[in-house]
Amino acid sequence: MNCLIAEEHFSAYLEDELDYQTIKDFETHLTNCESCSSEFALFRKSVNLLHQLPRIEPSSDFDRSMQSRVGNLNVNRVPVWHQILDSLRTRPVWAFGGITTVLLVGLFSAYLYQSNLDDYKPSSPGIVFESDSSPAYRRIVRIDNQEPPALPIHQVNVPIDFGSGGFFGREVLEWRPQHTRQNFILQTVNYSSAPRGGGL
Amino acid sequence: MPELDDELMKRFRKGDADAFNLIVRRHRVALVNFIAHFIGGNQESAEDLAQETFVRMFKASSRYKAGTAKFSTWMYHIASNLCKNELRNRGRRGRFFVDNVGMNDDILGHAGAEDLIATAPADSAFQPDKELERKELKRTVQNAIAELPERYRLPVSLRDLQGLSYEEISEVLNLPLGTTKSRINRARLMLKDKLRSFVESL
Repeated sequence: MNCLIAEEHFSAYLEDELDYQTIKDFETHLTNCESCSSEFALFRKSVNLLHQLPRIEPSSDFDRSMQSRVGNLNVNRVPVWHQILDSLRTRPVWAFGGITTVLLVGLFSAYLYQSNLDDYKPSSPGIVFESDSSPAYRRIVRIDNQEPPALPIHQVNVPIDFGSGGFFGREVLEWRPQHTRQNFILQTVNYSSAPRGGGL
Repeated sequence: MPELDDELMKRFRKGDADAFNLIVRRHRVALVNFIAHFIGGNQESAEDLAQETFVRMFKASSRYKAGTAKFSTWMYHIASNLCKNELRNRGRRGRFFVDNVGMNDDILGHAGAEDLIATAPADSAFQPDKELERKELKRTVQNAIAELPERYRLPVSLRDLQGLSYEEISEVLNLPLGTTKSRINRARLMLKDKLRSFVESL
């Protein structure tokens, strides 16, 4: 070890940060080099002087002045999601209790909403609205099963031909017209899957 | 106790203003000393910068993340940036900081022997010689520190006056650990040369 390298190790030796072999080399060099030995002694004393430097005490007005400066500032508001995360970390029981309560209230509200839909009685007697699982996308409208009032019987005189004998007669036929049941199904059409051969 | 600082910051962020006052009381002496040694000047300007550091911390409290950085590292990082800006501004104004440091009676508490005798209390324990010696030591060391280049003055102040570890200093200064160690050793060697006559006279 030469003098330049020894000088680089002054702080590390003073603070006991050298490995065993370097300590041995350093101490051997100091034993043999009077200049480095005296320089290291001076180095140690000057570092000790730094540690003995008296501290400056802040003036008595420091706290009051500090409070007046801080008092003019608005306290930073923590974002809501920070507060939620903090509460999850610090009070997990309360946090999960709150989440469970919110979920239960939501489920109960959804149940009440569904019940109201099932009990809905339309003012028009012939038409009933049915909602399926996704009411926002599909509505089925059908004619009610109630029997409509009977239509009057129609009578028609029909000529009868018995063939080549030349006997003609007439017969009265009766026929009751029936209501035609029509079901209208309105549903959304997915245009992406519609046939492209021409028209919908 | 860095854990206490983290706890106080957490309380402050939740709206406890007293927690921040406690932070100020815990760190004001260290911060004023650090700034005074770093920028020199009078005590008033050191206290003003220390208060500005606390104000910055107050404003940036929501960005402080406990556990990722030690509180003191964060504080000294803000303070050292403010000090560098102050020195830059002084340079622009044509005032070299060394002119102010060491010659200012306010910060060094330097007083003549006549003043000490005139103001000495009637106490047998009071020793004017010791007091003079203490003030002389303070003035000499302050001058030696102030004469160091900034790149050496800051790390050695943090190490020998504030007692930070090498790792903390490298975080504050954003320097590699090896560079931090070599700068501190270099600064001490410079101080040894500047204090040679004073140490040999002791």
